[in-house]
Amino acid sequence: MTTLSRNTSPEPVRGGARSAAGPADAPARTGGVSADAGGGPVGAVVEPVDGTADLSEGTVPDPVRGGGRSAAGSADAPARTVSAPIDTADAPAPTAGVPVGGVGESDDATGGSDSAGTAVAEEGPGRAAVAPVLALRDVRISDRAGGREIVHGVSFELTPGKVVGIVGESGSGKTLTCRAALGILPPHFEVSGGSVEIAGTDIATLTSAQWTALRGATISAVFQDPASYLNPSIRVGPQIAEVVRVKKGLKRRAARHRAVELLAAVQLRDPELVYTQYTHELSGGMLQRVLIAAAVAAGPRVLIADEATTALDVTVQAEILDLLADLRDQAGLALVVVSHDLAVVAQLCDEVLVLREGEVVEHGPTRHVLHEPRHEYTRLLVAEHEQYGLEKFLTTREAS
Amino acid sequence: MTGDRRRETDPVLEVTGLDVHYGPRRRSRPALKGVSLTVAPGETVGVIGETGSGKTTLARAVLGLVPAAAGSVRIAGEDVRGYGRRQWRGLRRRGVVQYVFQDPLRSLDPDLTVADSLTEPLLVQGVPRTEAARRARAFLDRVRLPADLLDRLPGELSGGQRQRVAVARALVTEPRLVILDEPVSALDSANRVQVLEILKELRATGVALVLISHDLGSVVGTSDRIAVLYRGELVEVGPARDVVNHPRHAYTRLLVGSAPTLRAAPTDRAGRAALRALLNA
Repeated sequence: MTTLSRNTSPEPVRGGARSAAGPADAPARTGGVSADAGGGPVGAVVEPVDGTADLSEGTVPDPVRGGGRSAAGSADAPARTVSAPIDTADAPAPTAGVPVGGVGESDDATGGSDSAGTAVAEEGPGRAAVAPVLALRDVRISDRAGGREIVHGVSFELTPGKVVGIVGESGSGKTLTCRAALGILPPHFEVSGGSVEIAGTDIATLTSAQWTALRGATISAVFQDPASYLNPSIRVGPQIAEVVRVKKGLKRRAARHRAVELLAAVQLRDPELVYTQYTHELSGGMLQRVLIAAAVAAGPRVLIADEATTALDVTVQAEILDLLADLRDQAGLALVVVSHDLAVVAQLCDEVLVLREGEVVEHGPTRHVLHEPRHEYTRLLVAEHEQYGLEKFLTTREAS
Repeated sequence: MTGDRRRETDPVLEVTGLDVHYGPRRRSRPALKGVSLTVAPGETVGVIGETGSGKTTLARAVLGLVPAAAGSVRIAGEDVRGYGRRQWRGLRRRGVVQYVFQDPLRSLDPDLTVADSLTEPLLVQGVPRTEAARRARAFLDRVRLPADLLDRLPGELSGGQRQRVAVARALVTEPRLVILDEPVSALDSANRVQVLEILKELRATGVALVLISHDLGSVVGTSDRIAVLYRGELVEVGPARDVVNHPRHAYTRLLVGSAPTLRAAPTDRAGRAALRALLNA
């Protein structure tokens, strides 16, 4: 049984010598070091190394590796769906029935956890499909206290190595949708319609013990405010080591070693030191890396990143996005990337859902939705983004 | 904002060789090292930098909220080193310098209505009450808020409205210099665009702005010049579009290369890694 397991060798970066910088006198343009961007690539190299640890908690099927990404047919996924700008009533769920990722809607094929490893060729001639690791079908979320439906039918499917983005303003239901998929809706919120399947298991049937087995090992998440998810009175390293011990059955010493590796994998400069630090000693960016390390510690197949890079510096954000891309490419991690920043979603996602007030107004391949938006709300979001997006001010963008 | 002010060409802010240290004297850690920056009247200078680069320290040092270990700060020609609370209050009352912080609840008194927040600085200046009320309404209008918000408390406003009130409060005394520390980073994109547009309009009124932000797009879109702060040092200063289109310092190049764009061009990872290696060498 193969699990996500990464060994990384990021450059050990130390906050040592500063680059010499010229004094900055006002009117004259001063440039410090003229940087030669030569030299070898020294960024993080993430490579799957072991593949043997057994997840004995059950419900974890074989992750489909290797061909997962291409088989998902992400490039030419579904025709985009656009809901009418005004139509809020009982339109059919915008994406229901659309073969996202090329997987059919067959209920029976995904009944048990044993089916996830089998490629199902359906829909679309000659296109191999892979069973989704996460499938939302017309998910509706209601506030029982207020008796209101907040999220009005969200559907998407995630196959291994695929990335779905959810964009929308605050209050649009992005986070509620994520929390529903994780089984952690706030009190008196409930999934009032539709279904969520994780690796073929309908979450409505899960006991809390099964949920515990699933979380971390199969589905995991990182949220915006990392400090809220770590215990301030325990050093951060042991909090990651605990995940590895409990979820992967590693011994104490091995768990510590693995935790340090994970801290290095998320490009923390001095992982040994960070291991021994408390949350108050770390910056927001460092905390978010710690949380991502904890989230991927048990080798999940789906990672939900809910505004995970929002609080980070742009250079750090780029590294985190690279890290997520590596996990996707090399370990077949499927991602749900939730962001209010369209550009973040554009970096990573194969397809995008645009959510407004709980309604999916547009859903389709990223380049269509973000480059040629059809729904007026998407157009508004894109226009707002572009008004102060850096690309507007760049006359040339270095080709890569 | 009056005519004679606009004709003045002396810098409204002159920071020279500013050092700020945090921590106990023995093991103090430099937060700013030799920062020099000049802001001309009516000019908008964006200061860009990441967490820990010293952006907020620069704002606080300019406003006298943290002591400088070395260097000088001159605001409208006055050397403000060693100014006490009373002298700073004097500068604010005379309409020299004002500030806007990221969290508008920190720049607004939660117990004052919008009207009180806007008129109080004017009343302190001796402006008659009716005139103060008239100007409060005018500035509320300038930040595109309806007059019926005047009776509200900050807690009764949305985040975007609150930040616009904070901007209006900073402007109502018609200061020559406003320091804005991350004024839009807590706002959603619609409000962000709106506040940035308001800041851009202000350029025409002759007020000088120092706009501190971690967001390159916001800064480039509103500033005449930008200054790049990296690990406590200004590593690059120049015309805004010039700096982002032809970044010279390795950090600026990394910053520009890291900004995600809608076009989703695959980012040059090897190049960024090389820049990071260079910065950490």
